Amino acid sequence: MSEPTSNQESPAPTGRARLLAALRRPWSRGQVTAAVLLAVVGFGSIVQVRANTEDDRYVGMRQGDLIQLLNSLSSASQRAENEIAKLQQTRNTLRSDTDSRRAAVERARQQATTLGILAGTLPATGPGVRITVQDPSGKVGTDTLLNGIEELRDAGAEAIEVNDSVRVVAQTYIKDGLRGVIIDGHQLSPPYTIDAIGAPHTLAQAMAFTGGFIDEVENIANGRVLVSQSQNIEIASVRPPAQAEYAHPVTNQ
Amino acid sequence: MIAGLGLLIGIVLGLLLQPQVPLWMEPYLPIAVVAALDAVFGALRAFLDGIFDDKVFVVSFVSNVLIAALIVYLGDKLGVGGQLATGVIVVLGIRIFSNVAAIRRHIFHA
Amino acid sequence: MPARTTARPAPPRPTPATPIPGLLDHITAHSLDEDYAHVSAQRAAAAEKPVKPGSAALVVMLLFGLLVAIAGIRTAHNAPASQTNHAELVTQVKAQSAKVDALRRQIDGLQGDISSLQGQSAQAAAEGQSLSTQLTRLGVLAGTVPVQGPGVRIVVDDAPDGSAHVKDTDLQLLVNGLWQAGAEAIAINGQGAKTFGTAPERLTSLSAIREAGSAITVNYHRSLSPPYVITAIGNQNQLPARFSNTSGGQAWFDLHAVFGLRFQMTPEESLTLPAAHRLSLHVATTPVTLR
Repeated sequence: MSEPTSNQESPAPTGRARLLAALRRPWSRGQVTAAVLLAVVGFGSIVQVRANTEDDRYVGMRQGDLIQLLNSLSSASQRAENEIAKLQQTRNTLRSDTDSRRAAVERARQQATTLGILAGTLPATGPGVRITVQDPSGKVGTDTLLNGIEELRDAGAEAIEVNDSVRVVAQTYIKDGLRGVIIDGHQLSPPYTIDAIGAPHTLAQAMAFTGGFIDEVENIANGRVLVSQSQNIEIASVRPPAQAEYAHPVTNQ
Repeated sequence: MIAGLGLLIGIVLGLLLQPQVPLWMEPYLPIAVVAALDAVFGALRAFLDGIFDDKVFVVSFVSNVLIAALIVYLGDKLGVGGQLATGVIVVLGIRIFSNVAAIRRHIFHA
Repeated sequence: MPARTTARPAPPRPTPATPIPGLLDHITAHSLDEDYAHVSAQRAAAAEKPVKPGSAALVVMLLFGLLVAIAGIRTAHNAPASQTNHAELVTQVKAQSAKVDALRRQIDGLQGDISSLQGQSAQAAAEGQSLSTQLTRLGVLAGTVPVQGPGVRIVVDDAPDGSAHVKDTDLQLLVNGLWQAGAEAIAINGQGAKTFGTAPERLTSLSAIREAGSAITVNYHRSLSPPYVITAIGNQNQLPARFSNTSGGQAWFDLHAVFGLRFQMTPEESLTLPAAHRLSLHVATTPVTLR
């Protein structure tokens, strides 16, 4: 090692002075030796670091430690599997419950649609007939129309509308008015249009049989009836939402 | 040196004969070797120091090996075999280093 | 021979003040068996010659060589096996570790599923609740829900002498009059052919009262013969008076007075009307999407 062995003239140099002197004379024997040894140390370190980071953190572990690690991993995996079994059971029960609940809700929705159409709170559309009744002599009255509506129902009419303004439901009543008829409180004048949704052919036939609606209107009331079948009858009138006052659902079904 | 010759003969004999070591003894072989190494280096240093003695060599060799093996064996029985082995190796290792340093001083005057 | 260093006299063993920090120093300082120094000092004191390594040393070195060789051979022999063992253990540890990770991820997934299912279930429950109320309200009006309440019971029958029969149009007018008078639900019963005591037929928007031969059919399949019992729920006090003001009421007044058809209306405190038989729509749909 090149060190200033004896104090010749200058006083003992400080560490910094020694460092600077070393930098100025790079090729002294001591520095070369140190360089070679440091190179060896560097090489060895890098090799070791590379070997260590190559996912071999288990290489240095002793057998006993590895076995212990294996045991603890094994029991951890056992616990996890138990947990999974419990969670799966919970999930399966929950899933079937949820499925049946959602199925029930879906059925309820469909039922609500059906009831809405029946009760007249929802507009309806479908195949059917559009019946136009001309009544020049004003003789078409409650009896005839009532009969006509009953016949349409008997022929499977699912929704009925009169004059594009009154929806006919169970509670619908007809009575004679000043100029025409009054249906559910609405004053209607001829010509009357009756829209009915159902099987078009069946509905048309129901109107046409002997002694039926068309017969009554044309032969007795001197009116004219035109029945046109359609695949797309639209009934837009709805009844205002109502709550029955006297009729209550029976509890404990 | 005769002692060096003895070492060589011992190694050759071991390689040739390859005696079967009983299974229960096998884990203690490495410890025994390190303990023996400590005794040998100690003897070499004593020799270089000029204070060598046969009897002391024999006693230190045998006692080192036996005591080291005994400690580790006890440790295994108690369940701390690994830790005690580590401790014994540490101490023996330090002693070997120290003795070798002294030997180095003798040989290289460094 | 190197200069003999002064035999170190065996000093009284200095017990370190604090053993732990001084342990390494102690070990380093006493790394050479003091026996050597001790025996050598003894010999010097007894003025004997220093001993050279002799036969004992030879034997010991022989043993040492043997030991080294044997240990070396055993280790080399076991190395492959222990290495395989080690390698196998490492593989097992890695595999097990990966498995535990996968299981943990599975647990997370399951917990996520469960909480989302719980949300859906709660949502469905709430929706079901609101739909249920709606269905009841609509069902009362449409006729799919059995109802009870005050109202009137009307019994009509053919003329006692058989000269006049109750026709389907008569019943239609009767029912029409009741609706006009404010009835909320109506059911018709009668003597069914061979089916006595069956429940009344609830009238819905699909109900038709038709005559077929000598019987009147209500709701397509129920064939009834007189006497007919019509039950209507509404204001039991107002219904009779209002009914008599309707054209239906007046018509029946005539039917009774002129043709002798029997007619009797009785207010009732509590009437129970059954639900209509399964109502279903075949072709009608609504263009409106329900929620």
